[in-house]
Amino acid sequence: MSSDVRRAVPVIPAGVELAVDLGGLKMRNPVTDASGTFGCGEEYGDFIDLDALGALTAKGVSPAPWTGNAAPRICETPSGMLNCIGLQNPGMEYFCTHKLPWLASYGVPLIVNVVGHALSEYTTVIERLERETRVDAYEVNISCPNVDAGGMAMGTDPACAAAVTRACRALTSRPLIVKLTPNVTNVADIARAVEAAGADAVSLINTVQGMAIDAHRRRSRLSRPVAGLSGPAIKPIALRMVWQVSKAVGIPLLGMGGIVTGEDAVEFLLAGATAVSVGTANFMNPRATIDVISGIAAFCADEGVRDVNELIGGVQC
Amino acid sequence: MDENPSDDPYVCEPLHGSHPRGDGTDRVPPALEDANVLSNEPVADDVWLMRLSAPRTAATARPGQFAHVRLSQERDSVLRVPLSFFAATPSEGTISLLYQVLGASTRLMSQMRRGEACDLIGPIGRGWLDRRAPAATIFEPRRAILVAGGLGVAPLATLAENLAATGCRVDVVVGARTTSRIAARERLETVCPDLSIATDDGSEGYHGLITHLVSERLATHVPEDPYDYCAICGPAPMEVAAAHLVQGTGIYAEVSTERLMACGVGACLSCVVPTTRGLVRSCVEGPVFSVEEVVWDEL
Ligand SMILES: Cc1cc2nc3c(=O)[nH]c(=O)nc-3n(C[C@H](O)[C@H](O)[C@H](O)COP(=O)(O)OP(=O)(O)OC[C@H]3O[C@@H](n4cnc5c(N)ncnc54)[C@H](O)[C@@H]3O)c2cc1C
Ligand SMILES: Cc1cc2nc3c(=O)[nH]c(=O)nc-3n(C[C@H](O)[C@H](O)[C@H](O)COP(=O)(O)O)c2cc1C
Ligand code: FES
Repeated sequence: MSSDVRRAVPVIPAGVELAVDLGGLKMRNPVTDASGTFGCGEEYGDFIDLDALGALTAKGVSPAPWTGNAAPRICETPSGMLNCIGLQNPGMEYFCTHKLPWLASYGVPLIVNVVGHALSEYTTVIERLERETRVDAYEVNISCPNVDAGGMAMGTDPACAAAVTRACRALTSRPLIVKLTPNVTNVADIARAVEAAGADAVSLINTVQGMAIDAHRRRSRLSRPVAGLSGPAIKPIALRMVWQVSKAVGIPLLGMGGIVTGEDAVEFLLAGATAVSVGTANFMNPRATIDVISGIAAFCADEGVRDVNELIGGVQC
Repeated sequence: MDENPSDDPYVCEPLHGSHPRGDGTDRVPPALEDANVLSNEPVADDVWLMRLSAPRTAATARPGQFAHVRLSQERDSVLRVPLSFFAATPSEGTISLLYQVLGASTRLMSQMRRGEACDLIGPIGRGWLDRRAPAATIFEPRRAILVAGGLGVAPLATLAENLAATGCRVDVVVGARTTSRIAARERLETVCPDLSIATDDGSEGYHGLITHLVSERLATHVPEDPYDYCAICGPAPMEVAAAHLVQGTGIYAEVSTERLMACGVGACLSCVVPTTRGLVRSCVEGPVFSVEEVVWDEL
């Protein structure tokens, strides 16, 4: 890390092939940012060359603006953090009129994360975004509470997850990635259901439910008692789930959860992911995405791996 | 959200990447910089002063802005520590951070020695008097009152000196738990020999809340020599009370808000403050806000 490099670019040794195909989305390397940790890229554009990413994943977009939760919204925990941001976002119109024009000056493939409280909200966003040529793929976040089902997350029920996937599938021929929640008993069942409903890929994992208590004040440290755990603390859970899902489905996986280094990313590829997302690590190091790309490339060069695709699913158990 | 720069004269357009600030001066985008500890020592009870070499940040930092510091490259700690610039000396390429040892991060910080490395993102945010002035004129305070609760003195010390250098008369009101906790006294006294001090335990000055002293000062507010500027930084309850006192007096007042911050660059929305424009990011649109734009009952 040096002070004079303003917009970091990855170092890729000659002869290493990094391009992957994530359910029809062509990525020049297997690395994107994890939705919600990176805004729409503007801020991190001060630190890295956004066009060096395999794809840029935008934060969750809903039909109308969401205000999110009260403060405090974050809290540090051992090797990780909890958040209850509550998917604050200015809504799809603002996204289309303010964020997409800004992104037009970049060529990086764009994945838009879609959130909703009901099936119709997901389809409303996708219908609107279908009119925008800058959008390359969707990541449907089914970890949101479903108001039609008493607040239970869409992604915790195979039938419900399939219904959302099917409805979105009917509206688009763009790559459709469905993002799974880890807060389920059998993640493979959910993955099979969304594959059958037409998903081109699945991404996992979203944050793991957790809680933090201030013993002296005898209160929750966050404005919501149940919040989402992310960062290195969840990496073993994420790896296990990626591995289980890769055994259960034939569609490619976008793996995430605690990735900080290139070697972490390689572990996800070996577990069966085709590409990876870097989330909380951006807070530690605003150049984390670039360092992960360089790290994967260096790993390949050192280990004599000519094409990164050779690593996918390569773990021996 | 952050659209609609609205009719509020103190409101700026939201910051986007490297776009201009929209107030006539170009925004210096924050950068990641490697820093080296030059010195690190206690200056008051549980209060430490760290001097770092960080030339790029030192050259561009303004009072009220902050650095987001990563103290260790280990993965067991994922969050950086936001700390205000207590001083920045461009000619020496150094910045100083005045910090209170509170929890794990600041304890780790107090153990760092000369020569140790860390990295920081800086300079971040809008500092004091950084907003577009009313009617796009440059606002130069003539008589100011600065209200510092505890470590709130950190971002205010340089402001006090800068104001004094432009001929502004500066009154400083300082509140602390006890007299041995008062930091940066010498710097404040060169600007304002007659510091007003309040301590929770009565060990020095007024025995009680700083806001009592603020209201006394404001009561001496005479038409011939009125305060035209007030800057507030301290614990949230103190800020709320001080803001309440100054609101409606016609004094242009600003407050530096303290929020828990993850990214520190505007991407994650962990640090939002309720304002008349909705919930806005304190890291990049603050930490300094005008008292009028903060929605105090929702804070
Ligand atoms: C823009 C900005 C500028 C700041 N400038 C300074 C400064 O110049 N000097 C200084 O001493 N401190 C400053 N702070 C506060 C400082 O960041 C925290 O004290 C520090 O992060 C505590 O970390 P810790 O791990 O030691 O304590 P923790 O164990 O994380 O926390 C100890 C206690 O402090 C509270 N706390 C932690 N972080 C914050 C925070 N960011 N804001 C408010 N309360 C917090 C916690 O809720 C807890 O009660 C600033 C904060 C912000 C947002
Ligand atoms: C502050 C924060 C905000 C997040 N917002 C979203 C979001 O809007 N949509 C989403 O699908 N996931 C969101 N996530 C989850 C991340 O995309 C990711 O799945 C998770 O954090 C695990 O990866 P990590 O450990 O690398 O952070 C968020 C995570 C964090 C920490
Ligand atoms: S700390 Fe991330 S937006 Fe302010």
